[in-house]
Amino acid sequence: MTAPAAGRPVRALTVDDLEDLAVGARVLAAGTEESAYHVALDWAAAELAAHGPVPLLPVDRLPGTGLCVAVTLAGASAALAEQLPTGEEPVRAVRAVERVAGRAAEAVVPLNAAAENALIALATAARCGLPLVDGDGCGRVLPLLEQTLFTLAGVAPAPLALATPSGDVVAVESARGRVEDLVRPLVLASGGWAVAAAYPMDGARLASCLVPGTVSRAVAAGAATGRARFAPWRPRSLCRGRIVAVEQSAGAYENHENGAAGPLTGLPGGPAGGTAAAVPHGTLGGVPDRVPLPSRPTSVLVEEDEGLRRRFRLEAHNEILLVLADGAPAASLPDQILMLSRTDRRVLDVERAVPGTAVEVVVIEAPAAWYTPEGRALARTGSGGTR
Amino acid sequence: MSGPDPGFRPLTLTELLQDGPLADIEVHGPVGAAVPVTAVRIVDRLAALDEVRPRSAVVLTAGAAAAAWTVEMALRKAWEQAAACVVVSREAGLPGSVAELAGRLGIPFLVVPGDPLDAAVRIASAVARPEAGRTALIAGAARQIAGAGIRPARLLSALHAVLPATSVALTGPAGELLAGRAGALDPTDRTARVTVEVAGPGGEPLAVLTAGFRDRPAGWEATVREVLGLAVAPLTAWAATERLAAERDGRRASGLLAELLARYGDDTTAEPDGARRDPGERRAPVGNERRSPGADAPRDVLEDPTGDERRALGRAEPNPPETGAADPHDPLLAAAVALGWPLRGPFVVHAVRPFGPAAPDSGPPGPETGPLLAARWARAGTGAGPLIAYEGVWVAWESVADPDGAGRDPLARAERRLRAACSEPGLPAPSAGAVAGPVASLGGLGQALADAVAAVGVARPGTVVRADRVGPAHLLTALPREALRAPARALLAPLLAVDRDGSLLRTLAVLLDVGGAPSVAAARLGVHRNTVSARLERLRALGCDPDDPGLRLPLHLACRVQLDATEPEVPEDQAEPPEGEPAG
Repeated sequence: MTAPAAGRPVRALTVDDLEDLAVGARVLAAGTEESAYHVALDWAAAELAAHGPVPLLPVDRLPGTGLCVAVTLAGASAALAEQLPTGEEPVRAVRAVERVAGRAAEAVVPLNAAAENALIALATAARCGLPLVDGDGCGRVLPLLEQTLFTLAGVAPAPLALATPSGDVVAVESARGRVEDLVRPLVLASGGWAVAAAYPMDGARLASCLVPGTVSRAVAAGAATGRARFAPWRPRSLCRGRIVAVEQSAGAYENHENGAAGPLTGLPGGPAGGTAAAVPHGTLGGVPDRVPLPSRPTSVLVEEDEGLRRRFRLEAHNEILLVLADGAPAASLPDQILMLSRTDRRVLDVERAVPGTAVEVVVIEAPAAWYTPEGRALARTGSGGTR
Repeated sequence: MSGPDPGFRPLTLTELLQDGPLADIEVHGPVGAAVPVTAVRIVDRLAALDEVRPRSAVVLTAGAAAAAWTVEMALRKAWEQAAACVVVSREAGLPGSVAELAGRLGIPFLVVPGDPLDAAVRIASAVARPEAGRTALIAGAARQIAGAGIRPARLLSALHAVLPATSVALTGPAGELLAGRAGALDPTDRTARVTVEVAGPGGEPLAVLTAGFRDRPAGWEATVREVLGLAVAPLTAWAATERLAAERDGRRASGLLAELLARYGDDTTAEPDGARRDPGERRAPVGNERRSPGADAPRDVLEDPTGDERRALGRAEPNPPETGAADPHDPLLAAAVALGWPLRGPFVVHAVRPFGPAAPDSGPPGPETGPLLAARWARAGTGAGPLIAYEGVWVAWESVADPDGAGRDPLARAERRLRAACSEPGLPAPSAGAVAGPVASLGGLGQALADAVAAVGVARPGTVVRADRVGPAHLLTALPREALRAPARALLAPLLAVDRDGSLLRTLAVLLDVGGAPSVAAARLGVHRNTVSARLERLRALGCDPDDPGLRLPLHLACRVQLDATEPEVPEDQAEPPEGEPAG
């Protein structure tokens, strides 16, 4: 492990910070599985208690040539609560990647800094005695292992290692584009979840494609209350209104083709609900084109309380993919679109939208790389919690 | 490619909807808008919407119609590109919220059954030949109107069926609503209006057809005018039929008049010439119990048009019927207009009393004299409506609402014309006439008719009296002469027995007329005063003393009756007694 360069002291995450991180990582995640979340929290707390505070490496302190490994939970988070972790999974996964890569890891980076993924990355860093990189590979929640800015930057997820709670360790070396296909059956076979260590790369490479500061941002958000809790993400309010109807949507997000002209290029593309398993895979950036999602496409209609009194249609499939204001696109993937309850400013899960609820629709901008044509295409390939 | 023909009118959305290339469609959003359709654009993916040109009909298929949000985006885009309408198949199963957005944006949104491409082809063919669609509209209108017969309510239903989003009203000369929808007359509600005059059987103005509609494309007015024109001939035929029936059976008109008077004639607040007011303010029509037993005429037009209209409008009604669409107009007024009765005040009433077989007081007018008198009457040109049997005489009334006749005495003019008519040699019998009025409205008609009937009762054959100037001589001549003739003769029997040349009788009459003053009587008779004194002596000797108070009135009456029977009528102005001559 390369010692951090001189300068301002590196912050270390303590058990106290964990509390804030736990709250802050969940601010934007509406549909977090409660029990799994608590398992992850307890796990990270236990590792911190056992191994002491974890240094939080800012992007300018990354080990230039040292190996960094991204860590995430693969599979359904609900399964985490059903088959409890042994605590060995992270270290086994990291060691497996180290074996394939032929050198030792010097930092752990969360693949994404939302909900239990941030906590598991922290547990991994603590357990492995490595610093945690203050940043992540997504900048927002996306469901597939390949849906990261690392992929956009040309870094492959493989060699990748999975460590399951049953003690299995699987290292995957794969040509690009087949990782998700290989990993999913493995995870299903091993009890529903695994810790994945992936995207091994140099610190310098990581610094060029990382979304920086997302861990400290979550910690800051968790420490704040009320409106300030959202402030770190700089949300833009789309409308304040009331849900007037919740319709089942035909989805049909696949009918947006690449290169759609004009303002429609910003539209979401994603799996067709229900029939997706039978749809042949495309070749979009070598990433599987369609993935079945557990929930049904839904339209939430919100009528504005003020101003033009526009009518908003929120198209959602696991997350809100598109917002139309009187038919005009107001926001779409990769924007992160959230419905906040106006009474307590909590994020409302689309699955639990009920007509009559007073809501505010806000948009959080994704990292800029997601707005490039390649970024949009990659973001469109899937949505929903399959990781 | 040559420029468009300057006379070329592109197909409008309204025409597209009503000409039937699109059957069984649901229409959302504004269809009354002036929207020309010049092209059809089939859109299978949202990106293609950027290429939509203004005034296109945008037909969504495949991916573009796959979900509510794609259709909403298409609506928005089409609206931004000023497209004429958006068409989608019903099979897309879109929720109502999409149609609501169409309404919010104000873009016409058509949901068609079956394959949207099929609709696209049919729209394209209609767009290519707009005149064919227009001709089809007129042809369809002609078919509908021919099938509707001649009754106004049915005709108006047919007009509403062929002219979507257009209200049509049939009004009488006073503006009273006879059939159709009051909304067509509301000046604030509609922006454009087309009126077509309906002439009566004799060419006189009978009624007016008014169509009201909101912002329609150029050319719609001409189309409406053409369609309204198709209804003129049936309406004229309706009036002719009503009049024929009324002339064939006088009781029909009499009954109608009785009903009209019952409803309007004795109530000054219920004037039908206020028909442009909210009809709801009008007094509710009286029930059947007030209709006279013979009044079967109005029932012909009592049909409620709304039921027929609704059925005829089986196609999509683009706009919800505005309030007042099923206006409770008064069929009684329609019947009156059909018969040519003036309804716009002020009125002057004419009464005619034929002496002889045409008199209506011996039961209903005979089949031979009634029509003859009516025909003569129509030819005489009094300006009044047709004759109606009423209270034993014939009555008619004219509307004297003549703006340039203001200041002149309408009654004097009517009197002059009626006198000319009554003295016409072609009349089947000598007639007396009377005029009464003027009254401001139908509310006063009953009183004016009563005045005229009373006045004509005292008029002599060939003369016309004004109800407002009936004098003492008229009162006397109103006596039941036939009944008094025998008693008169008995009272005067001693006199008549000796009065060879009638001079004694005349002297007695004049003496009584002038209050017994011999010198005045002498002047009137053109004889010497002593002659009068001598005759007075003889009269006293015969028991006919004009100074006897108990005898004076009976003798005066007997003289009048006896003189009427033996002498021609004294002209009225000379029959007036001289004024101020004291009794000698």
